[in-house]
Amino acid sequence: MTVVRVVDIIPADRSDDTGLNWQPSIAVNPDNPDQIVITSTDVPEEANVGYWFSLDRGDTWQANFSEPGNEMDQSPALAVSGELYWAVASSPGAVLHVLRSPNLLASGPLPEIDNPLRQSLDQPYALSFTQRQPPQPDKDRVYVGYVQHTDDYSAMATIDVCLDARSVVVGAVGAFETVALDHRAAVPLDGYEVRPTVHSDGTVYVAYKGWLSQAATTIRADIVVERDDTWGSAGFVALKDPSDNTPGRLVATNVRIRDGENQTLGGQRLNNDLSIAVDPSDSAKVYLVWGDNAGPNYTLRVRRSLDRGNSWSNDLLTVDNATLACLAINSDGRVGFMYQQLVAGKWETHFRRTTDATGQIWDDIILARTATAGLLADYARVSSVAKDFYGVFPAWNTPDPANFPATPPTPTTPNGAKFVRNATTQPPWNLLGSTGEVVAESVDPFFYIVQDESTLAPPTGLEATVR
Amino acid sequence: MSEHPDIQKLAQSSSLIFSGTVVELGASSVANLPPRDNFAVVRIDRALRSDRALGSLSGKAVTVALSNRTKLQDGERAIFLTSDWIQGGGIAAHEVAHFDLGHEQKIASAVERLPERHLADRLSSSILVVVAEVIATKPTPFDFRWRNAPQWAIASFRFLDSVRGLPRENTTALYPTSTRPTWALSPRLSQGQRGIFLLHRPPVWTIRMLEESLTSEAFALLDPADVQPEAQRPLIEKLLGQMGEP
Repeated sequence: MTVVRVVDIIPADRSDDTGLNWQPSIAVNPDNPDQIVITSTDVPEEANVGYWFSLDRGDTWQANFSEPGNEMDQSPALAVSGELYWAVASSPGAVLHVLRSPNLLASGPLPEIDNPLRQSLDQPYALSFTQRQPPQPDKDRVYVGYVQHTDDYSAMATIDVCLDARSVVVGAVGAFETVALDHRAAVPLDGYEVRPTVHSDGTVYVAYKGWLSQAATTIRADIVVERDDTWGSAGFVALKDPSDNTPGRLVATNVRIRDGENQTLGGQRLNNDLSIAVDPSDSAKVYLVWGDNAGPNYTLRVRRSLDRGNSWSNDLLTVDNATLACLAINSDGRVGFMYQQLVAGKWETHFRRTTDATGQIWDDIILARTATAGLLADYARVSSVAKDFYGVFPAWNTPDPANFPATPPTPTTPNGAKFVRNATTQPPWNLLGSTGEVVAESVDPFFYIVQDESTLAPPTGLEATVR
Repeated sequence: MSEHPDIQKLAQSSSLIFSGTVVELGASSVANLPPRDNFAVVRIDRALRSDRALGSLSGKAVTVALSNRTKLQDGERAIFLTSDWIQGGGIAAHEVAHFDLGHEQKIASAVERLPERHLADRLSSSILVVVAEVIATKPTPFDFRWRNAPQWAIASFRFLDSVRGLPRENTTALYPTSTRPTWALSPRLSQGQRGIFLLHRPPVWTIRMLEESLTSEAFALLDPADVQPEAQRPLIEKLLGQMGEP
C-alpha cells in the first residue's frame, strides 16, 4: 500500500497570484519531515525574495517573502536542527548568496555565510547533511553546486563546501572552500547542472556534464561523476577514469543533446536533466540519470554503480520525451525517480520507484496530467526521508481533479490534489481570487509525498489516497 | 507617529502600505507566528500599495511587527508603511514607518508617484535619452552557456531628436528576447516602433560576450521604463530639469 498526496502550495492569502511560480526546489528536515521548504522563481518585481514553508508535512503552506533582492535561481537545504541553508542567485550579476536561518519564520535580511560572494554563476543547488558526533555538537555539512562563468568564456562545474556551516561566524571570509571540478578542459564549458549527493559515511558524489562542443542546436558532452571520501574536504579527486587517470569518472562520453533556440519539448528547453542519488544504506550504490538525443527522441537514461562509481551499468530505465528528471533513494535502498513526460500534448508528471534490487523494474504513479501552457522549469527536485519521498514539480494549475490521476477526489480534496489557494470544488474548475472572482491560471509548485506502506499515517488532516 | 520627513523614499521601500485600525497589541493573527510584544494586529481599512497576489485586502487583519511598540494604542487608526514578511495562514509585515491619518492623502500621492520616481531613477542612470524610430532588429547568436541568458537582440535607430546626450549615427541598443521570468518585464522592440529610449550602458559581461556581434556603440534597454511613449516627453524633460539638466 502506498499513500500519495499532491498539494498546490500557493497559500489562500495569495489566491490572486497569477505569476509564473516555476523552477521549484525542495528541502525536508531529515529528523522532522513536518518541516519542509520549497523555493520557486517568479517574475521580478519590487517585492522581496522568498520561500514557501510548511510546518505540518505539507498540509498547509506559508510564504516568507522578507529577504531583500531579486532572485534568478534558488535552492534550499534543511539540517536536522531545522537550520535553513538557502542558496540564491540574485540579479543583477548572478551573485550567489548562501543564507542561513535558524527559523523558517525569521525575517530577512538573513546572514550570509558564503563570503566572498561569487558572481556570474548559474543554477546553484544546495545540499546539507548533519553529521552527528556526540558529545561534540553536530556539524552541518553544506554543499552548493553551480557552474561558474568567467571572462574567458569558460563555464566551470564548481562546488562550494562548508564542513561546519552552523558555526560559521557571519562575515567570516573563506568558510566555504570552492572546488573547481573539471580537471580535463583548459577552458571548460561545463553544463548547467552540478549536482552533489552525500552519504553518512562521508562519501560525497557530484555529477556534472563536461561539454565538448556546442553547435547551433547540439551539445556534445561527457557525463562525469566525481567523488570525495571525506565530506568533500579532499578536492573530489577520489574517483579517476581509467582512460586518462584523471579525476572524474566518465560514465558516458560524447553524448549528443539538442539545445538552443527552439530546441524544446512541449515548450521546455532540453539539456537540463542530470541528477544523482546515493543509497543512504550503502555508499557504494549510486544512481544517475541524464537526458540525451542519441536516438530519435530526447531520452532520459537511468544507470547505476554498485562499486563507488568505478563501473557503471547500461541503461536500467529509459524514458522518451521527458524532462525535469530527479532522483532520490530511500532508507530501504528503493530508488524514486520523478520526471515530466510529454504525452498527447500534456505534461504527465510521473513518480516511479524500483521494485526490486535489479534496478530494472519500476512502478509508476502519475501525479499529474496538465496542460503544456507556460514555462515549467529547468529543474525540480525530490528527496527522501526514511522510507518516504517528498518532491515538488511545476504544473499548470487548473484545479480539475481529472488532472491528478493518483489522487482521486474525496470530500476533503474535491480537486484531487489539495489546493491551498482558493478554487472551486465542483465544475467549472476555476481558481478563485480573494473576493471569489475567477483568477487566471498559471504555473504553481505542486508538493507531493509518496509514503511507504510501513510509514505511520499522515500526521495531519490532509486526505490521502491509498493505492 | 513617525517623524521621518521623506515620505516618498519610505513609500518606495515599503511593499505593503495601508490605512488601518489597531485591533490588538502584542498579539498575532498569523499561524505559527507566536505573539510578541512589538506585534500589533491591524485591520486594513484601505490598501494603498500591495502585492497583486494578495488581492483585495480591505477588512483583513495584518500582524505588523512594530519598530516601536509604545507609539500605538488599541483602536488607534494610522497609515502603515510596511515590508512583506509572512503570507499564508494570515499576513504579517514589518513596519517601516507609520503616520497619523492626516498623512493619508500625502502618502497615497507618494504611492501614485512611484512610477514617476522610478522613471526619474532610470533617467538618472541613463547615458542617452533619445526620440527615435527602430529601423531594424537583429538577434545575436543564441547564448548556450548561461541558462538565464537574456538572448540579446540588437536594435538600430533613426534618431529624431535628443533629450539627453547626443547619439552617434551608429548607436544601437541591446534588449533581451528571452521569455524567462528574469527578463519578462524588459522592453521588446520591433521595426517601426517610435518612442523615447533611455539608453544605458550594458553590463560589462554583455560586451565581452557579444564582442563579435557589436559593430557600433551599443547601449542596453533593460527596464520597462526604458522605453516611453513620445507623449511622456514633457514629464521626462521636467524630471531631467529637476535633476539639474536643462
